[in-house]
Amino acid sequence: MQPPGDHMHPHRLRRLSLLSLVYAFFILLPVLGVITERTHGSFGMITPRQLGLLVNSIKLAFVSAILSSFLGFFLALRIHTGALRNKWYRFYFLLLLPTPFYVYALMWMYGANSIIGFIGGSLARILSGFLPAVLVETLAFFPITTLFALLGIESISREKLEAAIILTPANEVALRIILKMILPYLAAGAGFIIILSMSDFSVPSMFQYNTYMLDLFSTYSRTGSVRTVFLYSLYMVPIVLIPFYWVLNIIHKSDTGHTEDMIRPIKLTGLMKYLSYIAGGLSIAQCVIPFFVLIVTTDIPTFVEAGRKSGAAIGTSLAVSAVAALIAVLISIFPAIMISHHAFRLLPELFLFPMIIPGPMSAMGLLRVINASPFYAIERTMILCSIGCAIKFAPIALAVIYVYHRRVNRKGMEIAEITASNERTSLILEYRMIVPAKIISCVLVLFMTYAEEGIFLILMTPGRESITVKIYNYLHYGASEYVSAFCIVSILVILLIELLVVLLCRITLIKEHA
Amino acid sequence: MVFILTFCSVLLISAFILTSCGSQQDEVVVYTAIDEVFAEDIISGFEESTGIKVQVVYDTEANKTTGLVNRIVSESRHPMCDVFWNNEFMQTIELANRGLLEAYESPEAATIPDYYKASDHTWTAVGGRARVFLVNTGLLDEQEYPRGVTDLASDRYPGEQIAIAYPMFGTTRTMAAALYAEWGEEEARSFFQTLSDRGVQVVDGNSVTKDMAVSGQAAIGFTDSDDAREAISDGADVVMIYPDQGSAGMGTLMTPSTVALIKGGPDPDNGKLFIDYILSENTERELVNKGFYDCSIRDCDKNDSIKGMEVSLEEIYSYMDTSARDMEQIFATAR
Repeated sequence: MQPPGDHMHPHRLRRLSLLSLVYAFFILLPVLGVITERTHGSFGMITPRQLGLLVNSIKLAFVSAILSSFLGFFLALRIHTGALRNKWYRFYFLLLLPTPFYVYALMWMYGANSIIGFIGGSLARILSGFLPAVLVETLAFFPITTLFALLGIESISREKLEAAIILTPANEVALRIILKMILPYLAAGAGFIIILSMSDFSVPSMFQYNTYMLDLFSTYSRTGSVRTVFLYSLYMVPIVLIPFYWVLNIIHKSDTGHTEDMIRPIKLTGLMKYLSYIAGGLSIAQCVIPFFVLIVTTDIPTFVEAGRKSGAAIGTSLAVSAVAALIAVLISIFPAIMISHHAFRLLPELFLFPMIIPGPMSAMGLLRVINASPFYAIERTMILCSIGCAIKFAPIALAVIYVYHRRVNRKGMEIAEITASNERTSLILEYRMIVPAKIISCVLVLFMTYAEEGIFLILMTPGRESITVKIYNYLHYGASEYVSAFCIVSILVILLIELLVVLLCRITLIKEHA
Repeated sequence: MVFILTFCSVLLISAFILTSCGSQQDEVVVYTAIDEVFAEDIISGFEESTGIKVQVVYDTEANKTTGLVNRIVSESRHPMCDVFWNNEFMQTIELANRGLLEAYESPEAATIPDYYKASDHTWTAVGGRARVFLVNTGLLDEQEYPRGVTDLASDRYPGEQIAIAYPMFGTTRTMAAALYAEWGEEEARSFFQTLSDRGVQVVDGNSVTKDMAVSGQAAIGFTDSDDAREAISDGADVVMIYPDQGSAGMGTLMTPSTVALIKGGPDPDNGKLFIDYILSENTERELVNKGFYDCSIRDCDKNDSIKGMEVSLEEIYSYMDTSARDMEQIFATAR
């Protein structure tokens, strides 16, 4: 059992604690707004019907998370052992992550409709219920577990595996050593999928699979009471926190260490090889098929018109997402480091709490607090929307930084502490070592915010509109060709930004080498 | 520390840029649940004719109206909105009951029947969208078309051939309350229970209902007329049928839009101008021509018009809670 603070210098501990309070302040703001609401809604014990819906949510979330972890592991192995190893475009599987889940699911539905319609059959039965919901959620979410698994594999120390790779069959290395070593990463990714799945109702409801979140929104629609919905959403907290408690335990107990030398590629055989191929095929399918559906459901003039119509909305989404990502990362660094140093006596899982509260409820709580405060004028700016999204997605940044910090090169950190001239320099060196984690979490939060809809609706400045809200509005109108065109424009813009980031990184690297 | 400083600088600059997307002197802030594709032309028309810039906030399908209403409630200490232009009437009445609306008797409302106006002038209704059946002509012959809402609960059609939106949201929710007002609680509850028992497909919104009828996933979609018109204009093999017409029929639910001035809004004068513009007969006719409204409420007493249900908006509103709670119990059951 490590002592609190992991032998951290008291001065540093105090500083980190104070800075962590900023995170706590931000995540408590919406709660304050919600609990002070004067409402006519009522709250009580969960009813048998709600319990049934909660079980549905749990079933869907956990099955999606398990399937996503399974596929994510094999895809990460495939990428790491294949031609994409070390290539910047190995992250291709993230291409559609900024697409709203509902639109993504709709693309699969359109695709399935066309195929089944061609073959003939009872669509209603095939496209409803648990199975299609879990399949689409898995396809939408497994890029997240793949990202975590790939980062895990790429951070495994070469020296630890060198002998095993030579002496042991590749399949055994993959299952008994690599899987064990990246389990914290996979578990963290699965944990997020559980949260994302449980906090969304749009995809399961499309397949007529009713979940607890749908019931919460229905209550919201009926009573208009944010507090009631907030209180009912607390029933999900233990369900989500228990797996995270387990995840954090794994990470705490896991072996830490990292070298610059990545493990050599291993040659999978038999079933493992085929599974990795299947995962690879599915990763391509989850990008290509929805993208293909998007292309065939629009035309060039609509695409051009959509480009013209969506320019301002995409700009708004990007600006809000970028600022939200920066805020989320900034407020998450310090609690993440503190948790990594075992400096919290309380349940550190509580830091993940904002993700469980439905986005619109959290936004409404924040709006109430700000509106009642002397700072209400910021409602006329986009910064409030950024803060709302940052609160919602900061736990992602926190988890990524935390996991990365646990895996960072301990030797380097110790050397930094010894050689640093003072406490401040040692701190700077520690922060620099987790720069990749900051970048990864920044990109993840940016993508998640970009695909967010509910918070934008509540907190967006009048006169401004995000691309997701625009897509949803046109979706309701039934203009599927516009919806497809907006999605394509949106994906292309994200792709362009990704390319620019890669280009900038490469230019920086070239300059450093020179 | 360098990173933090750089980061803070970026943040401050970003915040500055974002906050400087500021307000203009002559503007009006409008929250609207009207579909963006219809509202944007009307708003542009207002801007052109008055020179007043409209800062608009739209709502979306799943969140329909509730999000905006709650936003107005949340902002009640320092209102940011001047006008609420709603696509239905229930939530507007809710806001009026909470005392968040300012009375305004628009001169443009003089030709609108009193039946469509709040007695205290806090809101005025305009236009009307009908609930309709969208029937896939490839799956049903003309003699098989449903003629009334009760046909949906009959054995004429297998349950999976019928699609409706979740009756806890949007205009389907209003429809449920209207049937409660028309038939009484027991009969209406029994009707919806029958739909559920027969395995009617319940989907996320009227547009999905429309898509299901268009694609043949359902033979009959019970939806709003604007969705139905869109399908027809796309050339889909569907027809739109107004339910319960004729002298013996109870009429279909007509959902008017409502427009209201927010109490304490930043610019009430511009708000009143906007309300006048929305309530004007020209704007109403324009929205009828665009297919957003089925008819003008100024024509509702004419014989050649669509027959609407003869229940008052207040009476429908009074059944909102009861019907919504029942719908939750009937349709959000675990499967």
